[in-house]
Amino acid sequence: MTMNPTFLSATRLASMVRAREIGCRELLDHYIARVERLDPRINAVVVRDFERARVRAAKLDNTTDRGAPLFGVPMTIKESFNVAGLPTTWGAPAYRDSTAAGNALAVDRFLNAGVVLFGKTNVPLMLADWQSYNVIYGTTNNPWNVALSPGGSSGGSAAALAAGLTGIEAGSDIGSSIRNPAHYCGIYGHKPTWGICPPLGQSLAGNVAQADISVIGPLARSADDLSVALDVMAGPEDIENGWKLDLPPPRATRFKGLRVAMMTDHPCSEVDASITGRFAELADFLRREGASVSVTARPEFDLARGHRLYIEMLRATTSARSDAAAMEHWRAEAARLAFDDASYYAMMARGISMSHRDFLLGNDQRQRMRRAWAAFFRDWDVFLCPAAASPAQPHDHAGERWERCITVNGHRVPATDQMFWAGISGFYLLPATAAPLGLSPDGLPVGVQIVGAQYADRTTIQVAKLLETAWQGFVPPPGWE
Amino acid sequence: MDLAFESATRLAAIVRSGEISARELLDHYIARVERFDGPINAVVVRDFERARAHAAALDARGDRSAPLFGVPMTVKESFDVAGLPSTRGHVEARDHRAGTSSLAIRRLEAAGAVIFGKTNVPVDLADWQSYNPVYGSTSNPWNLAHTPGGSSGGSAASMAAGFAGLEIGTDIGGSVRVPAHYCGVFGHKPTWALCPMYGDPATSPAAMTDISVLGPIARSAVDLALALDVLAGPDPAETGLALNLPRPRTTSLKELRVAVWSHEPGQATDGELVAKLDELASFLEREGATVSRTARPGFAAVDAYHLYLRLLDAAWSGRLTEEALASRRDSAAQRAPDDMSADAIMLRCVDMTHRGWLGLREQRAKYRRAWSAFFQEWDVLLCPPIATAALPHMQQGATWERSIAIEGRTIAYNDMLFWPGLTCGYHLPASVAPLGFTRAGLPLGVQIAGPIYGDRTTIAVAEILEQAWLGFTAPG
Repeated sequence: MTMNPTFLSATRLASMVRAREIGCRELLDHYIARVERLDPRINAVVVRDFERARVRAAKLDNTTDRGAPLFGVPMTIKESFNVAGLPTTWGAPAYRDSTAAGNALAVDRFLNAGVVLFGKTNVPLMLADWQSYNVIYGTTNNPWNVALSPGGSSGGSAAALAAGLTGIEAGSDIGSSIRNPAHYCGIYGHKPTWGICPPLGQSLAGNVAQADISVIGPLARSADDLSVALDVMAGPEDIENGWKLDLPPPRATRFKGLRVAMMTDHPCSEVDASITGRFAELADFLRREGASVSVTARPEFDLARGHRLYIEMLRATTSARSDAAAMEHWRAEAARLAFDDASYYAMMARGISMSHRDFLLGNDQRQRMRRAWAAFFRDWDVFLCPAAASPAQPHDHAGERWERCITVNGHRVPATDQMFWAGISGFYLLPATAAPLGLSPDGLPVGVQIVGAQYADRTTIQVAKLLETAWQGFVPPPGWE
Repeated sequence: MDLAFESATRLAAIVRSGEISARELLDHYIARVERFDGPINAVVVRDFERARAHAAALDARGDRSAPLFGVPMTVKESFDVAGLPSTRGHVEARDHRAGTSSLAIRRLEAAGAVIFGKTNVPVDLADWQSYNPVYGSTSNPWNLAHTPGGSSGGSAASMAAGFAGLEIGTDIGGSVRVPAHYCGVFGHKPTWALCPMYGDPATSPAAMTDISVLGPIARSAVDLALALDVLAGPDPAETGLALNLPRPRTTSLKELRVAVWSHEPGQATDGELVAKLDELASFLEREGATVSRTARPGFAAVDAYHLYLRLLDAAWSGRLTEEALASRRDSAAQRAPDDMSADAIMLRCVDMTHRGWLGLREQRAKYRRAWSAFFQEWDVLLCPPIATAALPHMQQGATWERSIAIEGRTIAYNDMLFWPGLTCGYHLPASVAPLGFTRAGLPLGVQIAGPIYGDRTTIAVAEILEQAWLGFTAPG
């Protein structure tokens, strides 16, 4: 082995395998050895499929057609994706013994792109937390500090990448589940424009309908990898053959002339100074590089109103998980609470018990907000904001998610406030790339969320790439060599 | 043949070649509307002077290549046209004027069409007849005692009577297909979401429903293809998507694989319509097509029908007032629990939770896949557009208070949703083409459904039938 491949990008790994600088099987064994040796510290790779992977890798080593974009790249994937022969449980005991009969479409597409899939990574129960623990697989830790969570719900994905246990990953995101762990672990993640990456087979119980807001997307150690993986994942599935994807090229290939709007705080969610400070430095840097930067430009609608609508419609979208008794409970709670109660709990109660008619009325309002975003992105190329209110937080498994608090600027605030930063792009179906911004004063990774116009996925990834080159790239956590 | 009954494709060619000017052609149709529309009452909003100026401007233009160059059009009243009312039959909206035109209207005008009027609809587009307190009642050009259908009833009547060169309507429960069938013209209900429904943002909903579509109504299948190309394609804001409609699977009758579903146990369908469709099946067989009379998608028809009814009611609920909801709650309470009529099933959906709807949507996604599997073996499905030929006017009470007799069975009026809903509930494209006539001389049509995005195939089959079986006939 000429150089240690552990923390290289997937694109680089593919070119090394392609050029036979390293064998595919050899590279796989390198990551498998790391998983066996180091994963006990973080418990990220919770489903392991080493033998099948070794057979596939050996086969690839004997292949002469090595042009696939991710040729020979060892990959793990979020547990929620179906992989034939492996369990898909979403952390729910009811599915403990389930075995997927076939692959998710995205898995097939990655395999066609040359990856060697060798495991699945941990999630929170029903993918519904910014931590990743469940009774089936236990708790995943952050490689930067095992007392902290790697985030969630694609927490195992981000932890495995940061720890150098895999080459590339894919996750899903309805409430920052790609962006939040990418930010907490100091890696890259892309939440695509809604609808461009078919999620077929990223589901429980054989469900096939595509959920509102929810998307699947790649996580990686470099922005280039996001670009390659997006091309692998995106495009209508066969039966939707009346459309083809026609993503516009990046709006800019350099900072000079780039029109950047930035927002680092909002009354809905206070942001820690460790993040806002780094954003201030970024603004100065971008200005020096010739970008035009506004810290006041905003879309022409009430973002607080949008936030409330997001939480309600998000909870309506995930209400299929509530049984009849739970529905009755939330209906009663919604009736008990004031209609204008803007607490997360009240919004959740209203959302879960929402009538379809109210959902349609809300959807019409969202549609108008989406038009406002479209107008905004005629004036601005990207909108930069935090992915979460703070760097990674200590494990906290007590009580319900909406009862928990996190520390922001030295005081405790509801953890759910930061859903604001999830919805600011996701609710409007916009693409958002999470990229490393550097480290907090405490030595924890801090990321930026780069939001773009609908279908401007190549622009947000391009800006991540520009930052990677000129400002800050992936840095491995200490102690993982 | 009078120019009035030519296809839009032919009309555009004639104007393009200079045989007739756009202004002359427009005046020809205007004269017909003024002379003949009285008893039919299809063209209820008239915009002749602006249209004349528009036509004159086209005549002065050098580039005549636009696909609908100089084709005079009327459009369903519910489409926003700048400066004209969009009332959907509501008296209180009578003085409203649209500020900007719907995207579809802008696309048609960019394609060279000259829009000179709007055609009648039922209140809220919620009937297979077309009458309302704003504009009155529209009659069928084949027999004034009968309805032209609805909700795009004025559109189909205008086409059959030779009042315009091309029309567009909308369809959530047969509203393009039923009037086309009732009036003996062609219609196309596109695959859901293919043709954006973006209206005047000041007054129209920003989000579209998960069933309704807009589509062309014409006197020739060729026009459907032409108009679809003008109307289809992502909203200009959807910059990441490009249209990629597959070519027709075949244009040869002999290569065609046809499933024929002429009747369904438990769903009343008029015997004359069934017989005519069976006759068409035999004809196609003789001509060398592969025909099955028993091939069906992999689900129970009645389940797919009931699911459609629930999805329809859910989709509609966003447009209802609180008063209408309250009244539906009362009506629902009065229905017996075992009442499985379309109305009872829909009424029971009042106050459906979003959670309830998610379950319906999942089931629809599964049936949609079953339809896709079905259409791997069959190119098209031929079935009735609706249970009978054009009905006599029936304007008493609400739709859910009416009943009709079909083949000796009395069914609720809205139980006729079966044939329209079977396809549109699952987003399938469906063209309607003339099938024949009843003994009483009323037109019959055939619904030609295909796989999602198989629009060019269903239209190609309509073209095949137009050539080999039956084309448009002008009413006597």
